[in-house]
Amino acid sequence: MNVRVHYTAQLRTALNRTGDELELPSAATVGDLFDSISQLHGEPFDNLAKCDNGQLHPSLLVCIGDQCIGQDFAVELQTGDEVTLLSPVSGG
Amino acid sequence: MQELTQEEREVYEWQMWSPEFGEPGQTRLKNASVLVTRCGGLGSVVAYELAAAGVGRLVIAHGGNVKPSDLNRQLLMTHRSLGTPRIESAQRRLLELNPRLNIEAVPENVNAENVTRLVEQVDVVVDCAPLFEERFLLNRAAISQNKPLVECAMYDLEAQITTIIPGETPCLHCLHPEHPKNWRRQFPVFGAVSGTVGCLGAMEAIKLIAGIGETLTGRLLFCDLRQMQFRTISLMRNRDCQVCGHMV
Repeated sequence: MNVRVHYTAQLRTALNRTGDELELPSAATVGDLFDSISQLHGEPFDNLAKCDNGQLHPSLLVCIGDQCIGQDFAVELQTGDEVTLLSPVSGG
Repeated sequence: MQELTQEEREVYEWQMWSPEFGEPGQTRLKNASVLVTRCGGLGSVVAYELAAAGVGRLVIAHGGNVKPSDLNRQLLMTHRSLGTPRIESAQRRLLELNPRLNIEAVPENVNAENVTRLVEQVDVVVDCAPLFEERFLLNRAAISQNKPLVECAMYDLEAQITTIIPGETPCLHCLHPEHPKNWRRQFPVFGAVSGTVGCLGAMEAIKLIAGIGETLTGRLLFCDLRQMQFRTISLMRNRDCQVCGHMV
């Protein structure tokens, strides 16, 4: 199935792109999506988005469509889903 | 509750024409107090708009002296104030705009020692701080004192804003349970971006105080000013949140 992922803020800068279109197996989860992104981009993604244990860093907000899913990365994706990784931002 | 003077009725005439706001709303603003921290790119505009709108009392907290790199966005700082305390420039500019304003100007950033006292003397908190350590302190104090907290943030041409009501909406710790990894304190930004977010943050505070409209409670407004796309994202509380999880 086809899933579109959008990157924001420091993640967008680090990857030097606004998003990717990824082909995933059916019944793939949000966690599987992160693994695919990690394989695709490697260190620039892992430096900001992954914990030492390989899990997605909890400071990132993950949204499917316009719904934030919290820390539940076992959620199954549907073909055509648009996932946004909101990188933490601040004032200044 | 203090009533409006005739001078105030004249100054705020145009906004008092706003449906559902009127003189009752303006009177609520006059009797309200807001903490804005810091008064940088975001906080300068939040404080300026709240002063312009007639909020009666502002508590502003900002340490350090004005630097050249402040001047592209920190609109309460001026070229003439370079090298002098930021808080003095901020206070002077706010009083030039609204001499009726009651200001407590605190020449330091939020820290573990001052946060409780800063939050307890206001009705609403607007967080414009750059450091997650400060923001987590403010969030914890606002939750424990049951004060609404408007969260304003930005990066490059993007912005995020949400309004936190303790026990009802996700708190900052629900959204970011840990300090971001490899997060950089300095980032690209235009003054027009911080100004946009600052105006939105000020409007959230005004609506909270006056009781009008729909605030960004339980929702996060994501603005991409590069593409001029605006999205409202529904947020979820974390029932296991260490800060607000007990407030069910």
